[in-house]
Amino acid sequence: MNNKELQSELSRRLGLSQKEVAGMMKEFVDEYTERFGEGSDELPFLSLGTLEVRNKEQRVVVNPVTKKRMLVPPKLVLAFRPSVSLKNRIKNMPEL
Amino acid sequence: MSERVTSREFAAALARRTGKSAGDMTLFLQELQSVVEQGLTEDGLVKISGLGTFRLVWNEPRRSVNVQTGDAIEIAGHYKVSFTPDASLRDIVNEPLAHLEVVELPDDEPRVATEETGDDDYELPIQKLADQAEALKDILSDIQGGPLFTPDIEPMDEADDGAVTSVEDEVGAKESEKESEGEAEDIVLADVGTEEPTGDGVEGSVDAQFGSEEGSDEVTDTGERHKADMERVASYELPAEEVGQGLSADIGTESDSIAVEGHSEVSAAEDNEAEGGVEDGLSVEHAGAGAVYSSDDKDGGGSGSKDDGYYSAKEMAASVPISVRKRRRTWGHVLLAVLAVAAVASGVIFVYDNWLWDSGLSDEEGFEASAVGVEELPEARDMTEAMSDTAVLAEEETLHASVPLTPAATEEAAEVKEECEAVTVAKVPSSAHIEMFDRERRYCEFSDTVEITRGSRLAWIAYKRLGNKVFWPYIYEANMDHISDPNNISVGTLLRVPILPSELTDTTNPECIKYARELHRHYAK
Repeated sequence: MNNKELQSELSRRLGLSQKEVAGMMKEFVDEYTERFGEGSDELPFLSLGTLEVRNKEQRVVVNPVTKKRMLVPPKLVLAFRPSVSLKNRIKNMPEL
Repeated sequence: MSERVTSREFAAALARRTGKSAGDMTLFLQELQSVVEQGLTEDGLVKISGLGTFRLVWNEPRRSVNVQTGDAIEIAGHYKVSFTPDASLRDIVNEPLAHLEVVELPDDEPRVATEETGDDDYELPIQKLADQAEALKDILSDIQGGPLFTPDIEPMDEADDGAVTSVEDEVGAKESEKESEGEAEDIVLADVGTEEPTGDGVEGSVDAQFGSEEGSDEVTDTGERHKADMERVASYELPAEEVGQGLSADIGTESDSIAVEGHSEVSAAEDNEAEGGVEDGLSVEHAGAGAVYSSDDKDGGGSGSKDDGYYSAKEMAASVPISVRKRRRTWGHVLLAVLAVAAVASGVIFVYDNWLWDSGLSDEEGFEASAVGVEELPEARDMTEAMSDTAVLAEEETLHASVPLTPAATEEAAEVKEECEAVTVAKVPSSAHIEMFDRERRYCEFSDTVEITRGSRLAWIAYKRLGNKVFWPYIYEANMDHISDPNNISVGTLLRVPILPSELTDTTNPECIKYARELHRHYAK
């Protein structure tokens, strides 16, 4: 389901126009970008789980062909941690 | 950093932001949630632009072990949710560390350690100590003007045990003298012991030290004396203040490499050595990089010795008292371990010898058995040869009795023979009962030719060309005529990538994967 399908489905359910829904979605997403930009570590994502910032350590990698060794710097990545209920629901799904 | 935000607080903030009522916002969020869930469960994929993509990832069922009971259990296949943030959000999150760049590490660090395996890790420090002993011997003989002692100086012999203990006594007896000889000696010895190229200063002080020793008639029993020095270097607890910074780093390095257990640690130790002052320019650069990273990244804390090499030498100095003690203990461990290895090795050789003799007696039986095997083999080979070389065989009509072939089949085979040099591979006994797998594979159509370069992997080629790395045996089979060992293909070899029937390399069909795994087990012995 891509963003467009998501918005049209939402507008159908809420009885709002596509434009209104798009505006709400934008605000919703901007709230995350702003808060993460301000240094939040963890924000709830609906009641499906949390979006959290994880710290990836620096590491040494070796190019298998040239054998050059490189030091990859540490970085912060955004990860999604599903809530227990979502995890269980998804876990018990049969293979698509 | 910030406190945990609950979803209610988040919703309230969002309501303030949009100017809608809390009720409207709750409704919106509820619907959004149910739509996202619906998308996930139906499509396995939801994209929210600006935020990222949620995706369901299928995890194959696998065998595992119950950690409490040790029973084998099967973990059923299941889905997991993965989230990939959009590039914009990803960059915002990584903003604090965005200025860091990949640093290319200098290539001239000693590589020995990374190539050593297993027991060699133990021999590494031993080798080092032996070298040090050699160096000390040279210095002594220079001073005395002649060869001093003949006994072997391999410090790790069982015979040396006695020497070491007596040396310890000696050290005890000469406690007072040692004190008068003072701290300078210990430091100097440590320096020589760690063999860092700290240069002229060391040589000078070594001379001075041995000069004083000559005065007190200590050098006559150099063999033992020498060991005493070594032992003291190993066991003397140097307080951190007494030791220069560079020196302490060196000792830390030494003890690290003794305590080595994995390659990464070894290489980390080697890195330390490089930073210890061998090449000033490089170490400065390293320390700089390390400092930058560590200031941002320090809360990782005990992220393992792997990273330590990249923090500044200062930290090494701080941790020296511990590592010296550690070294003392690991020294004992190394001695014990070497003795144990020697004992085991001799035991194994003894047993193996005996076994050889025993098996020598029953050799004839073994020969008979292998003879049977040889008798059976040609039959199997005939099967395959008969299929590919039927052109010849059909003409001569001297088909092996065990290969009943209809004329049609031989014709077909002959055609194949004409079209290409068919490389046929006998089928591997399989439990999968799909006709496709039971039929023997014939490789005559090729999609591409790949040249093996350094670092190439059959599995990788299979992943690129056939869609899954488990299909590598097919590439191997197609090139069996010119590669013998799939794990060791020489650089420059040209491999043909076969075109396979799609039902054989169907990545979504678990049977295909299973069969390819069987082939993998068959070939990767």
